[in-house]
Amino acid sequence: MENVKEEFYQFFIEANKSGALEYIDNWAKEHSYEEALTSIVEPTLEKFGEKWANEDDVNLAQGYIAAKISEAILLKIAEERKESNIQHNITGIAVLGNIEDDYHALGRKMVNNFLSSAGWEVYDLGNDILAEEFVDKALEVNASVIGASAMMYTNATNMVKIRNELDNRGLSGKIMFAVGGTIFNLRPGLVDEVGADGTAPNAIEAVELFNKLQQKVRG
Amino acid sequence: MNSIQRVFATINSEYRDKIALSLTASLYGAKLINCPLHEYYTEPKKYVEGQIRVYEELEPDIIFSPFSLPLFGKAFGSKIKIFDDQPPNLVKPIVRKVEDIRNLDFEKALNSLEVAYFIESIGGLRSALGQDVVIAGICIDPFALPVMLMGLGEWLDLLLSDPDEANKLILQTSNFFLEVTDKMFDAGATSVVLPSVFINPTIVTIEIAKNLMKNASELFSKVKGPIVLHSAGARLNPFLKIYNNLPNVVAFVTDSKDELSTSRQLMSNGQTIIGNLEGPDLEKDSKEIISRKTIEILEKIGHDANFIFGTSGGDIPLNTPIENIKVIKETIENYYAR
Repeated sequence: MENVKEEFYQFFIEANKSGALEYIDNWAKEHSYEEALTSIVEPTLEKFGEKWANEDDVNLAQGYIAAKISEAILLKIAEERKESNIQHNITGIAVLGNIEDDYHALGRKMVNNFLSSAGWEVYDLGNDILAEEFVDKALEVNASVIGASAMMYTNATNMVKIRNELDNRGLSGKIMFAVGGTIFNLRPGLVDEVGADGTAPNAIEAVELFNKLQQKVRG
Repeated sequence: MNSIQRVFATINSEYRDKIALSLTASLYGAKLINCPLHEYYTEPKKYVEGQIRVYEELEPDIIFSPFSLPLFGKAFGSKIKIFDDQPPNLVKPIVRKVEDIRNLDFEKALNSLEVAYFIESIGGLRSALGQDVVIAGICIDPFALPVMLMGLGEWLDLLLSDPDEANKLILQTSNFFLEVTDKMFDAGATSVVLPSVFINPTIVTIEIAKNLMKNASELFSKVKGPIVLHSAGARLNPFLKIYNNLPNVVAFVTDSKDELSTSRQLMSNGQTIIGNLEGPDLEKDSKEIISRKTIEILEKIGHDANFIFGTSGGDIPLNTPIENIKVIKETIENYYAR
């Protein structure tokens, strides 16, 4: 099995989406896509996420392709579940969006893919989202985590409005607030500055962050 | 020595009277003339007015044309947003589906208000500042232009899933690039600066970069003047081997995270290093910190004959106190007066 995971990992490093999907298709013929997710894709994502967080020779193309691979496998699992009428448990509910004035959507879309792959129900509000829209949606869908993304420093400072909105409505501790984007890696102090409950160094690691934040909500 | 003599003496490894200074203060000119950004990024006269003040107040040796790559996207019909406190940003790319690539009107874009804005800004700066100053025309390279037309994710997708279609698009964006750089030089640009917003180690693998740059030698040899490659917020060193022998490339703006001694080793043709004080940090750092960082850079590479002190990364933020910028030049002068 270690060989299988290592071979699959190389597709991530080479940003080879078609190769990865063909590999999983072949493997799933004898097993299932569901099993491929837990036995191959998730451990590989974890390994890749750690590399992305700790080394600087991982790039967006590789991360993006990893997200697309996860998305494609997720679709196949959905079909598989539909055919066999299997219900799956939802890990948690999250609301995502790029903060007011920010239009750098790629990172957010990748977080959406990885969270969905990990069983989260994700409501992606898109770009240029106001603080009150994040909080309104989180209340509407009973989300435990709001995830806001920004690339530029100026836009990231708008995120403090989400903290204020949560505080003003008495929702602190009930809905957690995660932030992400390049600027938070460059300026780690910004996480506290905007009053966030946490950040992740990349889209893959966002899953662990959201899981931890949800645990805090649940106590 | 005037600025243009100082900069070219540096590039040609000749005697220079002092280290040249490059400040990415494209945006900052708006602050100095108190100009709303929706005017600054659409009216060449306002931009020129702002940069004249940059030249007078901050005394750099290099003045930049507008540093806003999304405007090139707008030339094709992509939607941008102009903010109150930062350069324009891409909001909605014109290409929604890959098939839309075929409908892109390169001729119309070349004659657009946005391209005219860049060219008239350069022409206005040359008329106003005379022949003594380096005017650097910031242009989008053919590999990054698709990002402004279809978005980063979609461009990555196309490159990785349909290389033939991607290459067809690069051929078109390459022709556009040559036409725009021609216009920039004709208008009075001393050099063109190409921010590597796509081909850099945070975005693509080195294999993708090598593949994309296969024809760059031929392309860059057709550019009518000197080219400066700008690291644009990502480390340059990992990809310097790819860039090292490109024709007409006389200098590199390194990133603040690049180890400059490594940069020097990798530039086997003795190209000029520009950098590497992080420009966006000037807003938050104190004068003392900026001065210390400036000295640290000078200690590392100030002795290098092919070195220009410059800010790296993006534009100096609008709300940066002017004293935080002026302290750079003061520190450099004091350092060499010791």
